[in-house]
Amino acid sequence: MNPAAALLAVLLVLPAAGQDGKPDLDAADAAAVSGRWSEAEALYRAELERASDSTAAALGLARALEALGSPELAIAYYKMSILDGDPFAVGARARLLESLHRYDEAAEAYTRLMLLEPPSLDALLGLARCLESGGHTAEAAAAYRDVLADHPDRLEVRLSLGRMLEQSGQPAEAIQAYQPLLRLDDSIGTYSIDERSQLAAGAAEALGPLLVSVGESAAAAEVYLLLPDLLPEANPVAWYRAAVGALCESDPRRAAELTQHLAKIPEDITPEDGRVIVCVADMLYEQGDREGAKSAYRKFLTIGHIMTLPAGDTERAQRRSYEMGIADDARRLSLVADRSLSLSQRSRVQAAQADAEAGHQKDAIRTMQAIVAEARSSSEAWASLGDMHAEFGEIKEAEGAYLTALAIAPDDGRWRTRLALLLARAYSGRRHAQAVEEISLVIRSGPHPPALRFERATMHIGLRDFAAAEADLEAYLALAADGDRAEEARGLLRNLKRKPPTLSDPELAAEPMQDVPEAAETHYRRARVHRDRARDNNEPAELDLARREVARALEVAPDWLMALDMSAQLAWEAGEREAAVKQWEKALTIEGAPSRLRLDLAVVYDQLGQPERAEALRLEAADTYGLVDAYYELAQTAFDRGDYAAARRWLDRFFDSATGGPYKQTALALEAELDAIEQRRRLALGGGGGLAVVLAGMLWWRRTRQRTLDDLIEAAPECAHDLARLLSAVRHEVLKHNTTLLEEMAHAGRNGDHAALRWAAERLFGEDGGAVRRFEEYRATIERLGKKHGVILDLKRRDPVFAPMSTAIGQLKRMEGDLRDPERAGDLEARLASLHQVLNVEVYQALGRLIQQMGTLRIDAPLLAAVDTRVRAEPGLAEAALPPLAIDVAAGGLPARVFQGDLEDIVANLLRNAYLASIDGLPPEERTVSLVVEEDDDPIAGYELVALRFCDRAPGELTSAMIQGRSIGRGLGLAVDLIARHNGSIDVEDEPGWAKAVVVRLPRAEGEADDVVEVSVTEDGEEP
Amino acid sequence: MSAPRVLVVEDGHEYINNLTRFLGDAFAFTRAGDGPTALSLLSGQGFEAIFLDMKFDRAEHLLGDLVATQRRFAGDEARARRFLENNQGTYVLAAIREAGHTQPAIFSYDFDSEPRRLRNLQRRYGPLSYLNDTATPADIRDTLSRAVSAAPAP
Repeated sequence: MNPAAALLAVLLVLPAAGQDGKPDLDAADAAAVSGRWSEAEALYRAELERASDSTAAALGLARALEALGSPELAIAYYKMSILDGDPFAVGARARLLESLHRYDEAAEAYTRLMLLEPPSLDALLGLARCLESGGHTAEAAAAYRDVLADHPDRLEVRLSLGRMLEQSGQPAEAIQAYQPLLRLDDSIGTYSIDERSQLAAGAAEALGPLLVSVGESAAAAEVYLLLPDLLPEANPVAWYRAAVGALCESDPRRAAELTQHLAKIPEDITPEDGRVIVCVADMLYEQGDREGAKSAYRKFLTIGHIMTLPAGDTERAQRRSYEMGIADDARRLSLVADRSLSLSQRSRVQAAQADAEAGHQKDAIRTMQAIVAEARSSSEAWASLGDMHAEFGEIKEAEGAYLTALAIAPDDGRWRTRLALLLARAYSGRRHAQAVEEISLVIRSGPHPPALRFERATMHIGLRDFAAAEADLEAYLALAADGDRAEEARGLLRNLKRKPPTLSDPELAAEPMQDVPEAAETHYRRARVHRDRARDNNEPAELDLARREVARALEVAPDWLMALDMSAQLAWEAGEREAAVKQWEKALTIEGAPSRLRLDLAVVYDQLGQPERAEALRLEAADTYGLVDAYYELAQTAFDRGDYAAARRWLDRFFDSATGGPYKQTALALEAELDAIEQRRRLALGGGGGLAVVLAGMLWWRRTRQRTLDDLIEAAPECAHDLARLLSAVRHEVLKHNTTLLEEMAHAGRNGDHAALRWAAERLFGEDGGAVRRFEEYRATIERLGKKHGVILDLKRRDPVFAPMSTAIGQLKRMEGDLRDPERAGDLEARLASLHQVLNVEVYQALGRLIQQMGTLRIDAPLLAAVDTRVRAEPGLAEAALPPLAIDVAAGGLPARVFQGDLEDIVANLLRNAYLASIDGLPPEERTVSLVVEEDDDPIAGYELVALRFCDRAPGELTSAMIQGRSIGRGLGLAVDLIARHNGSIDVEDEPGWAKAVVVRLPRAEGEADDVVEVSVTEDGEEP
Repeated sequence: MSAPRVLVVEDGHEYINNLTRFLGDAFAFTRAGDGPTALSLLSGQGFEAIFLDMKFDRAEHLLGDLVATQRRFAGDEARARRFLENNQGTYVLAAIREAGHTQPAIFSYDFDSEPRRLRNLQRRYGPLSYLNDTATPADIRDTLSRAVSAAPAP
């Protein structure tokens, strides 16, 4: 009963009481109606004192006390036995008891209430609530069930029921209680959408763990995944986390998909994220889903950057991630057996390079591409193609080719070096960092040319890592103190180590300008100050002021050169080029104008596109004023416009006049370029002069590709024979038979024996240049040999043997006049003695070592096995069943006088022949071939020999005559020629236990430097 | 006492002329222009030492099996002949030793860069010494004197 109704009931009772003469009760009721509760309380009390059995007074007093905020007292009065049967009082008491958290008493009251009148929803709910709050979960559940029995549309009661069932250990029943809430059935009850969603969310949050607890993890995950839609405003991370945790073991792939919702924002990350993600990762790993596991471990380790995760999980994640990465990388590696180019393919490479030299770019590239198509697994072929592309500035193609070469032979430092140099030189520094990485890999991987340190140092300088550059330069100098870049390295190192000085302004004694009015000088000084401020502070306004001041100075002194020059410069800075030129031209007409001004103005005219005026100025500077650098500039500009003949003329005049200076080296390089262009023109078959004007970048690149003899031998070992012949000729004809005179000449000089000096000079120089000219011809021949093999040599400047020899011969050449006229020469002894030391001791020994090094090869088991491997990989043999080659050679091998390339071709041809013959006529198990290397000797002439005995069991006749007569082909003709070239022999002999032995005998190498005694004519019959 | 006799085997006259000019006071030199002539002279006369050139590219008669040597050089007759010419001195010395003549021999050939070959030749055809490219007349005199003094008594 509600209070209003109760009050009405009281009021209805009152008239009867009034009739009994009870004014206090009426007044109390009136006060209560008016809300004067204190007055009402007093009156009700008075009434109770008067009539202690007055239920109205008791009820009224209880109400007044409740209204006045004295619930305990109110309860006491509500509880009076006279009110015990009053539903209103009992209900009020129940509510007050519940509000005071006296749940058990409240539950009793609610129960009492339900005995007094039919159970209302309030009473039922009240009872259920109090039982729940009192911890009587089972009873509460029963009470909630009772509510639902009468009021099945009370969805929130279902939530409470589920909660009670859960708490009382009845998970299945709880699940049943919750599940209907998820249906959002709007036919039940009168709830808004939001209310239903809230109830559903409550049910879902409760259901999730319950389902997990009963093993329904998939269902639990689905329940969690409802929540983001039910409560879109809430942060769903926890639900995703719970879903992942639920699915981790039962459906790790689905769980992995859901991890995308986790750890996206650092603030949302919890250690639980780590736990569930590593659980997913472990499950995927164990199920063999490596990609999934890798991704999950990666995510887990990312969390580890933000918070501390269990050490065991972290270690496991790191280890498994690492192992899977290794396995994946290993699987992705494409292993290709690197094949060497055959002799004919190498020849075609050289032909392509010759085409390139002649400017036939398309032909050259086409040839190289064809070779690559034939030998796709040859790193050398790809690298050569890369060189070709690079030569023509096709950088992308060059890089691709080098990368392919590296993919085939990742450990070959040559290709990696070429790639690094391409990256360093073709991108103006943009890819220096990558180039440094590549070169560093080569350096770290093993022995490497010292020059790589130098190259890396220059890249470090480009990257402004000066400390690293210093370290590399020092390392280079430690390895190659006399290397061809040593001087350059020392220079760079000196500059790097140079500390910027602390300089004070120079103290110059101020002197008055001669013949310049003071006013002009004053304006000039002010102009200078304004100009300096304009430059220092980047203030254009100061520039205008400077121009104004200098104009005033020129008004006073119109022919003053300093002011004219400043005026011109300021006009130029302001962009008024014509005005500037006009001022400079005027300056030129004034006596005393600096001669250098002509060259500066020539540069201006170059920029203004007036080459004729520029040339005239340069010519004037050189011819009239002796500025010989102008001849170089004339040569360069002529070269740039393609007038090579003019460039040559100007260069000649420069060299005739210049003794040094900053342009000397660049002039030499320009001369080399002109030589190369002229050479190409000679080779070109018509078609307009070979390559067009070489761009500055290619010029620089060509210069940096100038090679040494070591480079030639490495790049083209097949040229070793011809090269050795030429070097021997130089050693014999120039040094041994001519420059050996130098020591005697030094003595003659000391003794004043002029006749002897003149005689020696005649011997050295002759009428046509003598030994000096002979040397230059040999040097040119060797450089042509290099070009023929695709290597541009720079013997004069870069080769460690020929460079000092060229310098010494050059010095000797310049001494010709003195030697022919020694009376006027002065002291020659020291110079001659120095030249003797260089040429007849140092160079002579160096040449001998080089020749010996080229001509001596240690034939050992690894060398032979490597050739065998290549032969076995050839088409026609790769699939054949061949037993391993039995190699018998002394440990350490035997030294022979043969070039490596030739020996390898000989061995390859003979092995191939033995294998093919064996395959033709023998079953697999009998196809054994043996190769024995042993010492032998010449029976008469005393020579020691190295014999290679190729033994096989192949049927069929083979005789020495057949081989030497080249009647059977199969590459044996080539082997015979190569053997003969090295003064060797080839015979077929009987061999016990074998069908035959093909025996190759080659001269054994001596321990000392060997000259090539037997002169062999080159393929084109060329003789110097 | 007569001067020691030295047989000079060379295909030209350079050695005989120079040796006679510079050392004629101490030795008696006789020239043989090829191997067969040398063998003939050795069988008829007593010599204390033999002075040998190595290269005989002007000699008419060469010792050695040209056919076998040609086989060795893949049938290249020119190369075979060149080999015999360039090493003819060893063939001559081999024939001399086979004929039983044991006089010390001196090669005018620079073995400085071929020590192993020299050792092999000395093992087979000793006593054997040589004069290198820088030998002076005094060196030649010393070498000949040593050779002659080591010669077995006739």
